[in-house]
Amino acid sequence: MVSQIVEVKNASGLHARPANVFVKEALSHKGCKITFKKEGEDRVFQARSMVSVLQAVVKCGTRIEIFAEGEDEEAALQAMVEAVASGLGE
Amino acid sequence: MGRLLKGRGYSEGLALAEVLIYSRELPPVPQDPASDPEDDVRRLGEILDKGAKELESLYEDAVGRMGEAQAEIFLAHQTILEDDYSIREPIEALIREEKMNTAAAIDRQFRELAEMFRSMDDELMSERAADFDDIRQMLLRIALSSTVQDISKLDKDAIIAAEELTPSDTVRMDMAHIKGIATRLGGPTAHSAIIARSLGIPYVSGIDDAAEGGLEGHPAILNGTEGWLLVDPDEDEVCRFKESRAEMEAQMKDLEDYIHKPSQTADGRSLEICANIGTPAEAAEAVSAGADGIGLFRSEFLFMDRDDLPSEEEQYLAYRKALAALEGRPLIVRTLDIGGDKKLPALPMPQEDNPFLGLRAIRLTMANPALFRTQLRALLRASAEGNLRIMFPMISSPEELASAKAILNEEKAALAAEGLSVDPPVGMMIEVPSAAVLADVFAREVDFFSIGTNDLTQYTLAVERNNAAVADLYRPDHPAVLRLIAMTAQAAVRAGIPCGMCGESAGDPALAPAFVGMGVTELSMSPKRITAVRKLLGSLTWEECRDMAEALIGAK
Repeated sequence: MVSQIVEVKNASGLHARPANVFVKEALSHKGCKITFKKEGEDRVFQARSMVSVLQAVVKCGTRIEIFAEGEDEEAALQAMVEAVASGLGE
Repeated sequence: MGRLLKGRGYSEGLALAEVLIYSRELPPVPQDPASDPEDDVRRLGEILDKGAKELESLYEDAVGRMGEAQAEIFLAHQTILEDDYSIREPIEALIREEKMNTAAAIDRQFRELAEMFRSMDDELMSERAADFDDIRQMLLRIALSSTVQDISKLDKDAIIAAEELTPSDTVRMDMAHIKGIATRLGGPTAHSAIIARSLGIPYVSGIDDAAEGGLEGHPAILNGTEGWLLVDPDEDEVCRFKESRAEMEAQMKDLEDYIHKPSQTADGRSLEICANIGTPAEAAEAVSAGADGIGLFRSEFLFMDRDDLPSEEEQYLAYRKALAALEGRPLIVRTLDIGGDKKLPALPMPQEDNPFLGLRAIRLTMANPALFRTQLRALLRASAEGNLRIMFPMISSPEELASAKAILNEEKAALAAEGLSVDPPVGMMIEVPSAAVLADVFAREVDFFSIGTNDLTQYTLAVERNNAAVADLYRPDHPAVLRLIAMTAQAAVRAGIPCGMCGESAGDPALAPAFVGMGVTELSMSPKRITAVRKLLGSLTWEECRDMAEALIGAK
């Protein structure tokens, strides 16, 4: 399993369109389990689940740690981190 | 006399039409157990597929009727529907393990999700509960082969009354005939409010009887400005409605013409009428309301409601976003203005006996140089991408201004060494009496002034702004306050720098002309007031403005 911390920069956080883009990216890595935690918290959320992502209530400026486990986990993690860093389509 | 039902208005306007009750009531969900769970799991797959197709067509419909931004909600619904982890798998488990039938299992799972979001301590999230209710009803309609009340073609005007409206309700509505919306539930950010505002029709929520059958077909007046529904109005009330609507429409139409008119006095002296905003998103709204620019961008929003401080990058992106919406119009950003009545979780401050006279605004940022430098760097970087100006709040002495400018210049030099040379205009707020008295000295050191009338009034009169006990002593039109403003504007005129104003007085029709007469050339206010102030100033000559100024400060 690999992980990396990244900051969410979208003004409304992981909500609406950015949440959509985030989940779609996670779904595109089929053989890989992708989860995340908010920095300093223990609760694990599923990146492939829109409900779970909304439940996390990730606000602008929050740092999240993304975990990838499975096929091509390195590549999947990099893609997720890049998607978040580049603003999730905004 | 009609029956008056009071609520809260979230979209302005007035309407008179018959009430049409819109209900999404479904047939009861059968509770019998699944006879063959695997068969019900297959049914679930079919229902989810049909739901996805329906959302697809709702999305396309909505794009055509309301535009991409309003339609986006259906894309979010699609992603929720595709959520195997929280939707498909738990529902399959309910069918297989608890032997629930498909419809009952869907009903249970979506109710639980809606309940979970509703109970979250976050307004944005608790309003997401409506999305889960919306999807649940769609899936149950498919599962129970039920149809929805058809209001896509109405033969006469109506005020829609409902428990609450969801995005899929409004996309199916005959908007040409819907003159107003009244609901029992919903707030300022509810879907009904957004739709009503975008259509320019009134919306009132908190009407307890909205979803009851009793109102069906009754004529009613809906007032979204004052927040009430008047059922069965009598002749007099209808008469009064017609008068006020005619007046309101004439006023609004008349002011609409002023969105794109130039800001100038009747004799052609050019002015700037700008908007005060608190978030980057408001910049675009200000432009559509007719703003010539942003006279005050409060940067506090970046710092509030969070436990840490925003990074340079995050601030830079926010300023850049506002600049992009302004398309070259000026953006005056005030550096962090907290302390006094505004506190910051990430920056614990000692208890002060007199916070308004304490460590606030520029004093606080100078005492926290790292925070100040981060913001200045973000501002300087953003200034490369648009017409950005930096403004320091609450300067009270020339030494203080010099220190703030020295820090800014250090950051400017550091950026230049990194290859980015920028030199945006730097101004200061005049909101402490000492700054107004020394305006001629300050005018040599900055590129512009902006008068903050709220603080200038409270500091000049020694009257606390938020203290009800002395509220009648708080007078922005006090001759002493107005003389300080006149002194400031005159010093700016003599030094050849622009003098703006961003306090509440700037949008006050009784005072705005006098400020122009004193030499203020930029007035920044709530976007809603722009067209009215532009119209007023366009009707007066500069000389008339000057006479008003002299009369108010007692010079004549």
